[in-house]
Amino acid sequence: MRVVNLLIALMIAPLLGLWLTTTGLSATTQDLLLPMEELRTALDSFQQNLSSIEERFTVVKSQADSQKNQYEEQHESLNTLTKLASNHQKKSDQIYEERILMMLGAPVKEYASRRVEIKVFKLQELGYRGYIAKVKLFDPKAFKVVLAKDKLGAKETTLEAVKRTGAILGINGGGFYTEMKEGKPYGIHIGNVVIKGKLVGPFNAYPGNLSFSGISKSGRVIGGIFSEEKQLMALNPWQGVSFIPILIKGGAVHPIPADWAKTNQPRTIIGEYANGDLIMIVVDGRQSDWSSGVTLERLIEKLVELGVKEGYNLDGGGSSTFVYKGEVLNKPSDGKLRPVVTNIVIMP
Amino acid sequence: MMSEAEQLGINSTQSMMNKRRNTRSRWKEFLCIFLLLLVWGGLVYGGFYIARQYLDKSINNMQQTNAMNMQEVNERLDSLNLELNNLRKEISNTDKTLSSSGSIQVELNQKIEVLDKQLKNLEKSLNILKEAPNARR
Repeated sequence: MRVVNLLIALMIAPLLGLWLTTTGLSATTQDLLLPMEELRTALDSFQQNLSSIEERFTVVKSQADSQKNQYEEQHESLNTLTKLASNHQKKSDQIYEERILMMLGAPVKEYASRRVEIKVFKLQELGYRGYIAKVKLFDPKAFKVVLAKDKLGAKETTLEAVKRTGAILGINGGGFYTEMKEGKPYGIHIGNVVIKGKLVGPFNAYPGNLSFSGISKSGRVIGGIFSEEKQLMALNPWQGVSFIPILIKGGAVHPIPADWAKTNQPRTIIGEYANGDLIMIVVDGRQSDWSSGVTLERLIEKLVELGVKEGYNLDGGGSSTFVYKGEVLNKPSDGKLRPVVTNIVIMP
Repeated sequence: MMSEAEQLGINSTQSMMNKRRNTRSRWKEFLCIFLLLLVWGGLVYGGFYIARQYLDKSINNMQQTNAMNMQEVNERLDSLNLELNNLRKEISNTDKTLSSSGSIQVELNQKIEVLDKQLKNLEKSLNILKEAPNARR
């Protein structure tokens, strides 16, 4: 009977285990299922965050697009404004040029190249005649001061200098005097001469009232009375000669010595318009049937009337010569061409 | 009175009968245990079978539920992935827009400098024009 009881107990044991297993299994299997609620919550949260980012990013994108459009519009506006400013500047320059030309009249000679533009005008006023050259320098190197025969002491006429150098235009340059050296005449320039940016000989401030005039390395007319070399060199002179007096400087009429103001004489002038164009004037004189010459006072009035902003008197009298394309246009007062020490030429 | 020989014979018979009874009782007991073991084994097998069926069913249900849930999760993830890709493209486009804007801004600065220079030139020209000979008349 004991064996039977044992066997019954043994029989019940697996049934009990089975019951326990099946009862506990349902709870265990639930644990093996994916945690969907948590996943859904996490995915919903992620979705919301993503949507929020998308919304914010849409705003950023919209702003970026708007900014780009604004930049493009500004770019176009700036292009238009730049073109307008450029056109207005050209128009302004053109009007200025027209007004200058209106004052000068019709040119009698014209020359234009890549380096220079030259217009020659007749000057005919009450009591005096002469020629004016308006020179637009595109290359400052087209403007040259040349020593006679390219050496110190020599002299040559402006026509010879023009022909020798192959220049288009030439006028006489600075003042000079002649002394005898070893029985031969020796031409010496007064004051200072600058050729290709270098002083010819030592700096000379004597007698203290001589003015230097020429062009700077940028092609603008420079001038003044310099007591020291560094004052002159500070202006970066490229070419220049010396004489007396200064007529107009910085748009203002310069006081001139009384003995220079009232005498009618042949004159040679170099000057500049406000736009940088050079003006070279040669006035004939000492010929009552042709031209009596002009006082510096009247000449200054004429320069002011023409709109000249810088004006310097060069060597005048019998030296005043105006040569264009190998031809002497004016009538020098000596009745012949005077050999001089320096000439100013414009190369083609 | 029984003889000794008869007595011996009777004893011998009883002894034989007792032996037979003992043998039968053992067989019965053995048979009983065998049957009980057989029943126990049957119950164990039956239990094992039911449990296996139950487990298989539970696992299948669980797998099916998980598969369905996974499908849902995958669909959501695909959707999110699509949105992320779109967002990435938008960011890339916006990056290009911003880069382009940056280069335009640089150009703008250059243009402003050019315009400034041009305006200065214009101012200079107008000042020159102011000095024109006719202008003063």
